[in-house]
Amino acid sequence: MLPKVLVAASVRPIMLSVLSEGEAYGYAIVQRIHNLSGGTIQWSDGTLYPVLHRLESDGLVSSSWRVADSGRKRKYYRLTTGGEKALEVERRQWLDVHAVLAKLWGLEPQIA
Amino acid sequence: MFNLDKAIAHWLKGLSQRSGFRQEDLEELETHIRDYVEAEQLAGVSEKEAFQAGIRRFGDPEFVASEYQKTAWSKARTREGLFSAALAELSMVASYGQVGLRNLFRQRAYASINILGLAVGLACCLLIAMYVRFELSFDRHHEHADRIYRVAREWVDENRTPVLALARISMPIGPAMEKELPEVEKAVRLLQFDAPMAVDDLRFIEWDVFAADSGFFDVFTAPLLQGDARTALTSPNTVVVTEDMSKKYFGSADPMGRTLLIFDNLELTVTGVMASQPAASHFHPDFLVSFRTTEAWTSESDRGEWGQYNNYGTYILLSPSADAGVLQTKLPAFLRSHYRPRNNTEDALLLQPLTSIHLESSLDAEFEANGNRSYVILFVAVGFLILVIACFNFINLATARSAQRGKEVGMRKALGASRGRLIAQFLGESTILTLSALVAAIALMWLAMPEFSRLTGNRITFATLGIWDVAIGALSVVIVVSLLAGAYPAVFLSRFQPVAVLRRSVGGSWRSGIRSLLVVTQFAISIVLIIGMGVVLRQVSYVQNKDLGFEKDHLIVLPVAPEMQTDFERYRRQLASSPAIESVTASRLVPSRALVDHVGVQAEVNGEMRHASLALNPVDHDFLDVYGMELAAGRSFSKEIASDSTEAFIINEAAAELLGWKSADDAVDRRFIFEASGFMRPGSVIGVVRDFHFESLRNKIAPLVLFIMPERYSRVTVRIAPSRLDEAMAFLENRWADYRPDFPFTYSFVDQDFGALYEADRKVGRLFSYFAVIALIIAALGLFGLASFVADRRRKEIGVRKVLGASVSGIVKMLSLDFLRPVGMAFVVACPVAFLIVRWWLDRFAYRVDPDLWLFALAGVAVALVALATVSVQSIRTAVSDPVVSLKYE
Repeated sequence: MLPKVLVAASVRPIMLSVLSEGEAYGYAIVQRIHNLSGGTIQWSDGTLYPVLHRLESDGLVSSSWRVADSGRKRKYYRLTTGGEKALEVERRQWLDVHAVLAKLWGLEPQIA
Repeated sequence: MFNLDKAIAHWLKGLSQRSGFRQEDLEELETHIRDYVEAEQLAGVSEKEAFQAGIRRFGDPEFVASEYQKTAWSKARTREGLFSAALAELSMVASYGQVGLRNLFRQRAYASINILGLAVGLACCLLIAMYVRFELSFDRHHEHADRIYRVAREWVDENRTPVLALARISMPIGPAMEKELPEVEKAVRLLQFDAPMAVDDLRFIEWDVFAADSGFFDVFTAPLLQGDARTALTSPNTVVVTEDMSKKYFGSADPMGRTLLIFDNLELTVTGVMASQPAASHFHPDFLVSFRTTEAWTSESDRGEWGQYNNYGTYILLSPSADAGVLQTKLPAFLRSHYRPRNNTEDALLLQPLTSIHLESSLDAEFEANGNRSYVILFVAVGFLILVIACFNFINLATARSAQRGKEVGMRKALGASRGRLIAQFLGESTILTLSALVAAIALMWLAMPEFSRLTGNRITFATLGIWDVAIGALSVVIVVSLLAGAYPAVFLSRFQPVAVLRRSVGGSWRSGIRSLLVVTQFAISIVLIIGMGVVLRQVSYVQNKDLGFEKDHLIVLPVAPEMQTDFERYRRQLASSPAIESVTASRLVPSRALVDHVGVQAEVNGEMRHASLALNPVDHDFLDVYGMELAAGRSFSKEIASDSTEAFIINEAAAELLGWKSADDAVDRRFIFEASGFMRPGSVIGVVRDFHFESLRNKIAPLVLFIMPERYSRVTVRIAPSRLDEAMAFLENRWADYRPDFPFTYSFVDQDFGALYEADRKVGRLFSYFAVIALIIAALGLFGLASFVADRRRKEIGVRKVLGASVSGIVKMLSLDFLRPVGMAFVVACPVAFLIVRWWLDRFAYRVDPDLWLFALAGVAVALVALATVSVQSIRTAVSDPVVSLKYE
């Protein structure tokens, strides 16, 4: 299991990335992350929503209520242009970190 | 059967009771849980298990709610408007309060130590604040307070050393200032005297009768309830009385136009009824007699006398544009244009701002005993220090608990709580503590009020405070203390790095720097206060028990009636006839009173006449014998030698030294001339009396001359047989009645009069002792809390030690010594500080104790013992506990 601090740091880029795949609702996002990580990334499901709400108030995500075919009302979230830009910045930063670690751990041939 | 809809509804209801969730959020969460259950059911899990797993994965509702709350403000910007956001914020504050209360309840011991310490500290502070506020408010009720000055007078000798400074001046100075100096808008003279007052059969001796110029009401604020302020004091034989005096003499009848008989021979017409001066005033007239009344009693020459008869408290009202500094520079020329001193002393007039008189003026002949600025400063410091000690307890206990709180902080932070939120939470907790402490403090104040009121002269009560003062004072104290006590723990705890806290415990050991620094400071303050207390008490006992140079016990002082003055010898023999009475004498002043009168003298020293100014006291032949004073040279007055009554002088050793004689013997039989205004008595020194304390031990023994002059006697001193007090008193009262059947018999004991001189010091010493002990108790309370905490943390360690064979006494020693180290450090810090403070205070006494080393050592040992006793209770409890239990614990 991931230490909390790492969870806290990564939740934003992960959330943005999941939404960059397309519009999604809460449970779907949780499931997607769960499946991708094979269960190594876990958080209280309840805290996912405040994170989404904060992304929304920061203008990175927009939301709308829709009624699904099943008749169930769901709140869908989608990335805004601001969100796409933020994701790009996050992506570059995480890749930088990743590159350093990868080099240190010899996972990638060093460029002379 | 499990019903999903019911279960969900129940769950949502639980959430909705917490703040932070909006209806929309709850709807979204319902969808979430239904989606989850549906997906799990598809995977073959039962509906009930799926729901329970979903709830588990949802997380702790309280925590999730706090996460929701954090987004409330940002939501406001985008959507919902500020009102609902403010509501959310408010509910969050409430939730912090709730969390805070829950935390306090879980930590009852910790909370009660904090609250108790803070409450006692706050109660002390509030009482001190009341005292200080009262002392600072003196004479500020006068509308023109900032323009009123008192004119005092100071004399210096040829070496510019002050000889005398009087709060009252000669009669013509005030009116001349008003007439000649444009800065002076109005001058008012006040003559204080005691007099019998009578209406029909009602007759009392009144002590606070003042003669006042008609401008009194222009200068001072003393609202007239009846009468006209412009005319009330303009005519002779008129009087304005206070409301209390009106009731006393006239009951409910209208006093206006009625007459009061003063001195049994003069009728005064009541022309006004005024409000009494408030407690915070440096004078309290019960009667204002028009000044023109008293002018009739003084001779023409006295009225023109600029040098002598400094009996008139003189107050001037400056014109609004005038500058007191400028006026002061004009005063020497003004005085010289009217008066040139006859001997070689120089005199000067001094302006004293009215509002500074109470705290800064301690001249001779003040109307009432004034306060003292250094005591006010002392108490402000003590109050502040006590508050500091109490706040340090709070900080120490809060940070000591940081190991436990650290985990909580780590969790909150990891899950996104901002530092500001955490600080707000900790400050919220400290505010709750402070508020509870304030409630307890007010209760404590209420309990302490009677004693406090008594020690401060019955002038400060809850009644003297307005409701706004209380509210504002309490509120500001709560804010200051919450910030002071809560800020450090808040900043300290909220700084924790989540990774660090969650991995291992932080908060460190007992030795962790800041905490021991605070404990050292607390104990240093306690030690300083205890040393201060010791020195004050020792000095007070010293001044009361020091050998005064005469035998002060068994001496009774009575007033002299004019009838006795004319034939004092007959009265003396009458009194001495009682076997209960050993001896009788008369004098103008008796020891314990200020030596107000000074006179110029000439004396033959080494063949030439030297001038000096000496204090004087007319006495009777037996004065030295009755008081048991010793002669250093020469002889005492003798009734056999007729010339002793007219040309003999006895001086004290201080006077002999001042005049320049090499020894006491050298002075005997030397020529000595005494010069009062318009009066000269040539003669010689017949004896030198050993220095004795006439005045308070604050003052150096003044150079003094004694001589015989029956018409100036105003007091009779009677030495009674030690075991026959009652008999003597009955006899004296009867004899008194023979002379003045209409006059009440008044008397005082010399030793008590001397004791009264130090009444203020004794009260301050007493108050100081209370506060010092309270400071120590609060510090000990904090130490107790800290010790319990440390003992608790080291339970397992101690269990292991015991299993491995450590003895109980060894463990107690180990735990206790840890705590004694800061007390030792505190002692080292406290000693020099205490020494400086104590010396500053002792400097006000001309005769004083030394701040002994043993006193310092004693204070250190006392504080160490208190600390040790406090810690031992915990240490022993921990040390004797069963290791099996403590090792199983967790």
